[in-house]
Amino acid sequence: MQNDVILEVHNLHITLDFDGEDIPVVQGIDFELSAGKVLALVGESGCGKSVTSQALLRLLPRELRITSGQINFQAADGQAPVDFVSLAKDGKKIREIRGNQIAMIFQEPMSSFSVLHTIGNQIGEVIRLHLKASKAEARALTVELLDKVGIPDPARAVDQYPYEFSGGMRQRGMIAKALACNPSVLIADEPTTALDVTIQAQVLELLRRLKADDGMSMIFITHDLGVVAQIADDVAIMYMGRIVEKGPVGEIFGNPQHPYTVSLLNAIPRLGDLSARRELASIRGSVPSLFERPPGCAFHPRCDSFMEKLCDAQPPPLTRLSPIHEVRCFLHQAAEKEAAL
Amino acid sequence: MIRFVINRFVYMVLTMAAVSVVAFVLIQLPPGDFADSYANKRQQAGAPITAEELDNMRHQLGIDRPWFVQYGKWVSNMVLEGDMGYSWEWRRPVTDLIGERLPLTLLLAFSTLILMYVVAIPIGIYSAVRQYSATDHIFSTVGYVGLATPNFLLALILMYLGQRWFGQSVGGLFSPEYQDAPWSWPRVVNLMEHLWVPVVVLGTAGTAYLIRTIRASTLDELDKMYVMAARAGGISPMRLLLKYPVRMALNPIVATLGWRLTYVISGAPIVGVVMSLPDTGPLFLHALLNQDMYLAGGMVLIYCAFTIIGTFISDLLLVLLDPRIRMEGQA
Ligand SMILES: Nc1ncnc2c1ncn2[C@@H]1O[C@H](COP(=O)(O)OP(=O)(O)O)[C@@H](O)[C@H]1O
Ligand SMILES: [Mg+2]
Repeated sequence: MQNDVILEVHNLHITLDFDGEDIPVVQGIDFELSAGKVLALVGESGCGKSVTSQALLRLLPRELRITSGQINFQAADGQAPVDFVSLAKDGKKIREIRGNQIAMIFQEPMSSFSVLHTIGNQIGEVIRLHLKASKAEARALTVELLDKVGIPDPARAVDQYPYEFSGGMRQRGMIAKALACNPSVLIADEPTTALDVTIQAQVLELLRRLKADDGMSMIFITHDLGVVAQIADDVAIMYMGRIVEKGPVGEIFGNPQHPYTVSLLNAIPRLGDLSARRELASIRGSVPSLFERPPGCAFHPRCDSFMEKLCDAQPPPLTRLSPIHEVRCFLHQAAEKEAAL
Repeated sequence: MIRFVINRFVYMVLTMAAVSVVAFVLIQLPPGDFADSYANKRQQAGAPITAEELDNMRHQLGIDRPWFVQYGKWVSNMVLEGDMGYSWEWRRPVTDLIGERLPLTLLLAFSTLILMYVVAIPIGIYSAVRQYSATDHIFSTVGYVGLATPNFLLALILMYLGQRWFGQSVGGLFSPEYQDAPWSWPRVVNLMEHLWVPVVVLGTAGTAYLIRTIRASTLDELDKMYVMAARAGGISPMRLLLKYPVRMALNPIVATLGWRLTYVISGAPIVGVVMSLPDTGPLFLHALLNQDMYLAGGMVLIYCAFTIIGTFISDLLLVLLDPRIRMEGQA
């Protein structure tokens, strides 16, 4: 692994067991997360972002399974990197990492807490587990955490139940739980999608402060490129289980090369058009189902630059436009060849 | 919370009052009365009674007065003196008759309840966690058979098997030598040896149903987001299972314990009759057949009381177990 890379995904494949039939969901993705950076994973709903993020901590539900690839993690203690794929699914090794060195927050703050236990109980559980803290210590730390994420009257909130919290407060609670053991990586799966626009901005601001003040590395998943510009350093654009374009935020926004990235960027609503923010409606057609994956480049039926017998024949190989900018599209393979001539 | 309990308690008393009226009216609904059925018996025995004797008897028993007068007397005696009336058939106070047999009915009902929960909870959870495993399939099949077998048939099968393999006289709750013996340790053991048969009969269908419910609700919970969120915190699979999905899935099942008590109590009479148990079942049946009004009314009232108390317990448990409902209760 490279020097400052702490999490590296290599050629990860995930399949869905559908009544005994193996349906590919994620088809060989690669990315790296460097210390202190935020990597955004972007794509329309259903492209495999959540599945990918869950796979990182080996949290996939029964019907989904990693078929090949590596997930290498470099712990802060300087020991040799661990490949999570080689670990037992709910074994001791991966459990010591979950919530401790890598934490995760989810899209649905409303359903991410158990309704029968207090917020304090559920956050304290992680603290007592990993930090071997006593009940009282865990409680004190929980109050501190709740305060840190901006929950008013944390000493009272710690004994409250999730239904007494608003959506925004619950997501703050989730973030508090994720921060409990000072993880080196935070995986955030659409942390603001389910929230109202103003609350969205507040939660995003909270995450941005975490990055700026604490140097937290994050994998930030979203379908909203507008959000990406505000928080991420690097972006990977996903389409039907593949990363089609990847690079630094400035490069991708300023010099998008994949037709899909271009359409996504065009779909960002202008300022003041907040109500349309959540939808990426203006791309022609819709994402095909997993069971009708188009051959070749999966985006070709919706692509304005579709080239017959090329795009629908085989998946485009990776083209490195620069050391930091990669794209999977035949347009660029052709351009590269021309340049070489 | 205290307000909630008081609230429910008042409802309970009101329901009880309403039920007593309905019970009384229902008991009187069938054509004829105790005097008629007595006359009938005398007729069959070849010693018919005269119309005058019949009227006399009616007057003595008080059944020639309007029903609300009879009801008023019945209820006031019951509330003021704990006297539930007199059984004409047995020529003994109803309280004595019921008092003798009710403990056995309760023993049967509670043993059944305990068996149901003790068996169903682990199996239900196991089947959910190992969904579609061989064990899951076996439990499912056995469960369906258990659900589909009528209680009386199961009773007959078990009695036959008991007799055949254990040489036991499994009808009743005691061997003949202990039938009327005073309570002693061997008599308790003897009771236990007999009790399992009606308990199994009474509990099988309910257990099978409980297993299905627990399996389904646990499966439901396992797929919920909060379970993955808890896993993402690093908790071990076993602790996770017990703390979150199982707790969640058991909530409605523990909370309906009271209703299930109702279910076994109301199922008990039939089993009691089929297996000729010395509990309240046969007593109730005969009281109904002979139009032994106060005994039948008292029995209906007792069964209903358990239903109502069961519901009360369920309501309380629900409130204790679920913080959301607890909150509403306070508000
Ligand atoms: N548990 C599951 N069972 C069946 N299909 C699933 C499951 N989870 C995800 N999928 C499918 O996998 C694909 C990727 O899903 P997901 O990763 O949730 O997409 P998103 O990018 O919106 O987060 C979708 O087509 C979804 O329907
Ligand atoms: Mg998702």
